[in-house]
Amino acid sequence: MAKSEKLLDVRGLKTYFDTDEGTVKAVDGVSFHIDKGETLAVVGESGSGKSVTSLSIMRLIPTPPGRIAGGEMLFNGQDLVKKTEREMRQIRGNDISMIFQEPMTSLNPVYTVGDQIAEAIVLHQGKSQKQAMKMAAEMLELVGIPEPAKRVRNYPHQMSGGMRQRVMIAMALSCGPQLLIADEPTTALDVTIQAQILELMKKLQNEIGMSILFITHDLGVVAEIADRVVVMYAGRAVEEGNVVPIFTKPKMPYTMGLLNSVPRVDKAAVHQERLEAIPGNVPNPLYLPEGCAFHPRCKFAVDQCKVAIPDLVDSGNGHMVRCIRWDEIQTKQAVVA
Amino acid sequence: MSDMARVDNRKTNSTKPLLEVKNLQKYFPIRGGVFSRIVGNVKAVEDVSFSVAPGEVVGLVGESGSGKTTAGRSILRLIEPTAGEVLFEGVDVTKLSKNQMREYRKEMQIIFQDPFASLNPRMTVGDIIGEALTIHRLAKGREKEAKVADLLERTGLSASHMRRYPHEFSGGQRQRIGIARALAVDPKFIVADEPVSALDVSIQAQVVNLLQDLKEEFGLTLLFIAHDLAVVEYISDKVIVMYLGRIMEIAPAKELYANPIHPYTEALLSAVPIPDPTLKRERILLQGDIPSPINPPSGCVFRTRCPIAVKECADVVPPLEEVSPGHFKACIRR
Amino acid sequence: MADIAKSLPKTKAKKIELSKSQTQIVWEQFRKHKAALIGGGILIFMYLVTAFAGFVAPYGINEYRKRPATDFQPPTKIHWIDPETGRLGRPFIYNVVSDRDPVTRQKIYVEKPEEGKFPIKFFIKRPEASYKILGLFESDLHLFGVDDPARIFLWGTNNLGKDVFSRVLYGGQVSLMIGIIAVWISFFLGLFFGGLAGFYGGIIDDIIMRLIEIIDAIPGLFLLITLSALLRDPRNPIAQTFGLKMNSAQVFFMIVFVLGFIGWGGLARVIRGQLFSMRELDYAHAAKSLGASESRIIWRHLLPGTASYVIVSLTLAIPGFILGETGLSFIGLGPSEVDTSSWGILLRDATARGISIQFVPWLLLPGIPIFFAILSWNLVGDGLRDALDPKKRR
Repeated sequence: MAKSEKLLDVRGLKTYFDTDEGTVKAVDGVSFHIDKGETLAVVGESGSGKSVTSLSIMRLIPTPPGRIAGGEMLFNGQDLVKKTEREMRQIRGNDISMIFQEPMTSLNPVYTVGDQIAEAIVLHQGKSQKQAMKMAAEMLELVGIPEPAKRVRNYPHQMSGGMRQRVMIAMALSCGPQLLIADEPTTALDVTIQAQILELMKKLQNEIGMSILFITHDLGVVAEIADRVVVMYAGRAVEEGNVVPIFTKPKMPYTMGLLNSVPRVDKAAVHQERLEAIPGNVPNPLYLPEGCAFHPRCKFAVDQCKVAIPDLVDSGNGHMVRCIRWDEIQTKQAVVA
Repeated sequence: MSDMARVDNRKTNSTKPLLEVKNLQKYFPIRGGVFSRIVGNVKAVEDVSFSVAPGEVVGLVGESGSGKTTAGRSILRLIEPTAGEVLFEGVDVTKLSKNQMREYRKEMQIIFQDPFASLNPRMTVGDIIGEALTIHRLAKGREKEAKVADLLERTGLSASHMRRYPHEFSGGQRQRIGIARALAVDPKFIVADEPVSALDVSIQAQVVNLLQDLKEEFGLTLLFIAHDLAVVEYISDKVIVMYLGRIMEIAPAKELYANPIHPYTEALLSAVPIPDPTLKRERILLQGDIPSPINPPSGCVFRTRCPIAVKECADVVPPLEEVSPGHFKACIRR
Repeated sequence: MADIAKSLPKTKAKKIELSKSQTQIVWEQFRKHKAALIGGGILIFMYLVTAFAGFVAPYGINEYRKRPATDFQPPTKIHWIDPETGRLGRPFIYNVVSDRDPVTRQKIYVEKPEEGKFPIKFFIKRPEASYKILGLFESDLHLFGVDDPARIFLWGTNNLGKDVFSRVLYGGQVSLMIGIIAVWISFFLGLFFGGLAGFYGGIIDDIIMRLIEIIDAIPGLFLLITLSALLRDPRNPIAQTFGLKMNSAQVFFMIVFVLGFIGWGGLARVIRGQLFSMRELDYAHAAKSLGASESRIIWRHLLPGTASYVIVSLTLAIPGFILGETGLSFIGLGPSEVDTSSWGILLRDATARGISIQFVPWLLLPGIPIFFAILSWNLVGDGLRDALDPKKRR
């Protein structure tokens, strides 16, 4: 981690969807990078484009209506956008793998979990079915499933939600990927189970050393697992930086608003203070406001915010922010404090 | 100002409760075989008792399978409870006939979790909110329209939304429509069943604040059901923690978070992620999964995952005991 | 950026007119389904043409000439080229007379150019083939025809020398209507029993479901034959109330009843299932918590929700009924061919008295409208299903 080496470098990614009512710019010029062995969290609300970003990296955007309209995604220096479908199949599950929100629908109900894990091993590593099944059991043990030798013969419906997510992780890690994309992996789980899964992911990263791209809407989870954070809003990255400065000194008003609107269990001392809500609604991706997409909901907005989309600028130490007033706001906040 | 209100609440706490739930039980039969015999029961709610004082907001917290939603719906008799009493202003509503119950429904309302499934897609917003007024012959024509418009404005929407259909609204707006519908009959008591769980983070806070405002404005009493402890903390006076159909702990909100007694409450609190990366917490990581409610563990239902469980925990169901005023726990180890 | 600026005013305009009713949305979606639109167009055309069969058909439903007879006459050849000028001119036909093949001694028809051209005339009056439009207005005006003694048989004639084309048009009235009427009968039976089962559940539900299973367990064709044979038996009470011998209208209604009776089970099951699942929807719970009565919940909240499903299954059921009638008529259990016509009866002609179809292939032509009617109803049903399903909206 000392010498940061870029594993994935996404530059100006644009993913558009053509619908009857117009083109939805789900992801519109997003750039970020993931270093080897680090965890990058992409956080955003519905319609922010966070999930589309992850699917774009896997090249799993349904085409049509979707298409990657621009940008490049350099994975170990090779542009994933230019890969053929055949080459992508070699990369998926092998170099980059993915886990999803709903572990029930991502597992095939008619095969045992062992078969499903072994499938990827046979496919990518050319192992025999017998060897692969043995490895599958080892993987189950790795992700903390008790009695793995017995559990490989189980069907997905015989397992609980938390167990299934463990199986998904085992499957994703079975070929030793360099990058694991986790798309809201704990959203469908109960908090006590979520805590188990997050703990497991951290442990596995320590042992295996893969990079993780963690997609979530939950700021609490981000604080728990991420090294760096990209905050997305309406298809664009609006703030990016190391996790501590993002949470302690957010510079984009959207991030500030988000942090203030989240109820926190540890704030019992200031119990029943009102939550500071962000007014308005998440914009319809078809009809984004002019200028900064956040300005209609921003308490710091001035006329200038409506004119042009602000650039993502470095505010120092690689803390990127997309706001024309970040400097002013920061000073103002400091004065108030 | 809100402090004043709370002081008032405390005062009324000592008066007669608005709602009293006694030994509520709900089993869902599982049928199987050729003659659809009952082969088992999903024991969703087991021996749940608590009370809600007028003007109080009670939070009901639990993970999936805890029975919190079933409890909420059984209280309103949206599903018929298997056993137990639900006293609303002293009247046991579980004993009322269907017709008597229909009258009582004016007093007790519900707000749903899923803002998409809870509004009839074929009705306009005006018809949805005004339906109760028609059913109970409270208003019609102009008068009804004026009332609906007023409700829309009060819930942060606009009167012009009346002729629109639900699909034209965002999740947060739909939730406001659902709230307006519940308020149309001027209820005394509302069950809010995970009203913000399906909403975006920035919208959740809006709806929580709206509920708080409306509570003051209409003098509402709320049963706020949620799986998110943090949200419950902000809105509730008292919190009930459920696990596998049973109550584990009841405490005033502040006290529960500062001083949880039951090991499950403790673990639950420590599992909630806090948006602060600088915070280093000792985490109590629960092992295993929530057992099936068809075959719950004997004795204390939590013992299979409890870090401090002993042999005796399997023998008896721990009773809910008061440890300090208003603070109850069901654990023999603490 | 410029794009966004441009789209903004449009956005606002759009927001204001957004309040579309459910029907508008469905229609907009349906219009995007090209195949369904074509199917719908074909159906409208077919129903219009058969409704005005008397006008479009050159001959009456049972009109035939004894002498000279025209039995098994092949489709009349229409000439477009004038033999004198060699240019494209007004279409005409020649009179056709029967002859014997010198070699096989089979009856053949030959054109007689020496009798002169018989130009095809439009809007001619033929009092011998008068008709009533929609059973109301009597008229003898026909879309087209030729002067005597020539006859124009676009699709040839049957064994009695009746014009197949005219009979296909009249037959369409029966075949196409039977589908629609039978579907209504099915609909009311299905709605009634399905609603009953879904509403009350318990023992009523059990009884109705078992009844449906029993009906379903009897092979369809067998049940059709049994029922129609039963109803035709002069000794049975239903036949007796209609008079001993059923006339064609009574047979028609009998078939409709038989088809509708067979078809309602599936629909009842669908409605029951939908009611059961919708009762658990939050908005049904919401209505209950508002104090709505059971009947209000059913009528106002649940049944409208089943409408889209019901419309689709009804539409997709119509082809089955059309085929059912065709099948019944084909095996001789339909209306008698003397005074009426249906597509099934017409196809039956092709099997009459051991004639070999290779010599009279035009008797299979009634299959064409059957094919298009079935296909079109299926296309329309598909289109409706996609348009009514919010998940499939594009």
